[in-house]
Amino acid sequence: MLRYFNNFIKKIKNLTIKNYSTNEDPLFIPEENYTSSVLSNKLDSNVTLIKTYLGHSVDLKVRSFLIPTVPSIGASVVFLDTMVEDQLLESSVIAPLTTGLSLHSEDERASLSIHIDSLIEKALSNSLVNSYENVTDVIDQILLGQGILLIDNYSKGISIKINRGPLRDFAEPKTEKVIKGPQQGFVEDIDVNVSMIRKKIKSSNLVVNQCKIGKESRSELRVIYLNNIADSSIVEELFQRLDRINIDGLINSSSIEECLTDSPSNLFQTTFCTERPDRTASLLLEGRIALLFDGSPIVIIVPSIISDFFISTEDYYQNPYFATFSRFIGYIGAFMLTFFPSIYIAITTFHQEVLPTRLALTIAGARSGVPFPAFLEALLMEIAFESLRQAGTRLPTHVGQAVSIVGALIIGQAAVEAGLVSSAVVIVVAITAIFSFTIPYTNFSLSLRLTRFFMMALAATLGIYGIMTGAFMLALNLISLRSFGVPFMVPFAPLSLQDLKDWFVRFPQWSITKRSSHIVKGNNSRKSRNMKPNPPN
Amino acid sequence: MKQLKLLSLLLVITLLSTACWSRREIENLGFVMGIGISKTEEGLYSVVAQVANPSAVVAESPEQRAVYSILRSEGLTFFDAIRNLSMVAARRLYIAHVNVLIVDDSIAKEGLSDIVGFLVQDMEARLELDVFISEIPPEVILDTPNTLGVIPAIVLTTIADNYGANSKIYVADLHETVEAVNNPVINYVTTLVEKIPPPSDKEPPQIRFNKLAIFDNDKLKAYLDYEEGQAFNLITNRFKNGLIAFEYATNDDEIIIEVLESSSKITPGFSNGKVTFDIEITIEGNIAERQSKLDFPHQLDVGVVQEQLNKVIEDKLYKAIANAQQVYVVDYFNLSKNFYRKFPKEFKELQDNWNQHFSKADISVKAESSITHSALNLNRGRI
Repeated sequence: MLRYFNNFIKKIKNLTIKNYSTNEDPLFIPEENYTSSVLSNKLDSNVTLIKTYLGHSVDLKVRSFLIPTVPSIGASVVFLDTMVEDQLLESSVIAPLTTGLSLHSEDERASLSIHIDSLIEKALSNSLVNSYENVTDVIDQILLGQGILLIDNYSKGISIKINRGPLRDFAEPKTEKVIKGPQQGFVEDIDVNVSMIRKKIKSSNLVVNQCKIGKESRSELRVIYLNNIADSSIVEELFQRLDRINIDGLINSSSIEECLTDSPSNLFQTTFCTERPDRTASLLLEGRIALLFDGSPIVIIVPSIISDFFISTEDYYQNPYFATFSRFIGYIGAFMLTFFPSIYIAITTFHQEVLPTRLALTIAGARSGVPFPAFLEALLMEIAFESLRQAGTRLPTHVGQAVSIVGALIIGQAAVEAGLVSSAVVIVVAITAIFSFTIPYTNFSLSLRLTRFFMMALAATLGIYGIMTGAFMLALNLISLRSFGVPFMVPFAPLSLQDLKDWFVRFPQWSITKRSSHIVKGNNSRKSRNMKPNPPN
Repeated sequence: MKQLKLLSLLLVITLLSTACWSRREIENLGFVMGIGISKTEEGLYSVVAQVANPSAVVAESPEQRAVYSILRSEGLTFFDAIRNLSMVAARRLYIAHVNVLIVDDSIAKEGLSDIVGFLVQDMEARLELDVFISEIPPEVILDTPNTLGVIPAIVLTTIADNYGANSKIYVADLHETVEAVNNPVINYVTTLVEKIPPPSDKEPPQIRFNKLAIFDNDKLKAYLDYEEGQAFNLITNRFKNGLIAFEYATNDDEIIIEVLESSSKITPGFSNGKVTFDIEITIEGNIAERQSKLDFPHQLDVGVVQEQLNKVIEDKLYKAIANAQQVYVVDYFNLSKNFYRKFPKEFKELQDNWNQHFSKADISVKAESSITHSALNLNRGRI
């Protein structure tokens, strides 16, 4: 205990020391590095220069061709495959510069080879053409989805607007609805998904890696991370685990998930899934790695922690106080979902003395005449509810509604009136069901839904003692979990005060200045530390 | 794996050694709400249990008499009599929710120690249940239905909880009872419960708490009226929001003071073998009501009222103490506690004959009152 306390004090000391040291290394060093460099006259060196900044991404493409002037000049268009409309590139850049130019007379073509500015004016048929000398500007343009035309012996990059128009195939995120905030979810097309992330994070540090998995299916996989933030050892570990996957075919992203986790046979999943680009982007900024799978709108995030499942994207679109409140409802929901039916069983069959007299009489009155013991009654009702829920999700919408009406009528009313179950247990099951919906992400609540039955059995045999035993087993299990080496129960165990600010409650944005040291090594400063609004001096 | 084995082994061991293996469904329990105990002519204990009828309690409009049933049985001892109830009861009787214990005064005169022991040893009973004394058979008290459809035992606890509104009575719980029984010096005090005739023809008879029952250790000694009840509450620091009434000296107005706060400070003394006590009462109150005998508005001097209130309280306490010393010869204020704390050695010599020493003690009372405000009506201060 004392040793733990000492460690804790040391940790806090370290925290404060770090605070001062990070002041000297501001956030945007990489950008300062490349503002100095400008484009040269050489086409090849220009292309290589751009590639050094963006070349590690698979969607960076270079299309080289010859402009048929006299003599002909080499040219290249550099662009991000995922952001660019291919037809537009073809019709407004390549066609006019190649086949279109060859229609001109030979004299004209000879003069154009010297005056490249007029060549651009005459030949390019695009609505927005700008030229840039700085590599920074050029790269920004590429990341925005423009094509950059580089011409030999010309020290400017010409940005041409060939990016995709507003994508119409956005899906509304079905499982992660928010009221205030973007209504945009990932789709089945992997390139569209990558472009969605690119539109959120227009950084040259965003790495998009390509993988192919499945001997027969040859499924496309993209590993996306910010290479200046994400822990390189976790990235390496991820690639090692991906290499290990050697199967005939992968049909959905969740199959990879099971091959990637640290504790494969555990009830709780240690990878996080989302279908929201904004959530993915914010997690990438925290130093996580996103896995995109072609054909799946679900993005896998590693490493994940328990808080991910309790944080709703909407928390960041709302007042921090309310966001904290709604998180607490989620925590209470998790507790109630796991323990409420078992507490009901334990109290009504073992510990009637803990109830206030009137409540005891009310429950006894509600249960009088019920032929089943409390455990069986609660178990039957929970199973009935679970099957109703399943029936409701499997069936088409209108049939699903009919099922829930019939279920609610039969179970909620007829069964109580017939005296088969008590109204108390219906209330318990209903409250449990409502609380199970308060947890924003289902992966975690699914496991808790199963745990609930285990707890109920323990409560029916051992009462509160059994529930406590179960709770200890649950806590031991959760604390021992790791996700890519990161403790799953961060920020609670190990306790991390800094991370509690964002992951347990939701502090205002100006006060969350650091990334978690459990996920990110080194570059953990997120925001400047003086963002708190003050009255002017 | 090894840990898992260890864990399951531990679980199995605790499973076998656990003492909570007492599974019972809530609807099969007979919730005993109140227990009454008296003695038959043959000298057997007679126990009356008031058992709640849960399905009638949850009914939308419960019937007066359907919410409970009364069971009765006899036995050689208290526990024996309670166990004999199982030969009558339709359900397994469960005494964790017993709210009241009513003791017949014939038993109380003999002493409470015979019956309290069982309730303390039984793991189900709660120490917070209220204890009452009754001069009529307990079953008559317990079988007093009311038009609200509330179980009589709950009515009793409700009245007991509201004692602060009058501060004329004091209801002891089982914990205090046990303390008084176990400690030969502490004298026990609780309330007498009575059944009074109905206020109108159609109303059923009602329950009333009116008198304080004082004990010499655990043996019933006498009943006090509520003047002395207030004095008891004032001295023992249990006075909450009672009313104190007197006549305003200058013009015979009736004044009612509502006490907001009161505290007592008892300073024991011991010199030349004589016990002395200085009791200081500090009271804060407001003038809650004033019935004027004059027809025109006239001023009320708060200073005079305070002085008069001091006098009234001192008189009240002196009267109660004089009665305790001379008539009852019982230190039911338990001033012995204060004395013991200051003079533990001397007390050891005095404790066997404490009541005698108490009756000879010099006790002085001083009241210090402050009226925080007069009634907040239109003419405040000048009514």
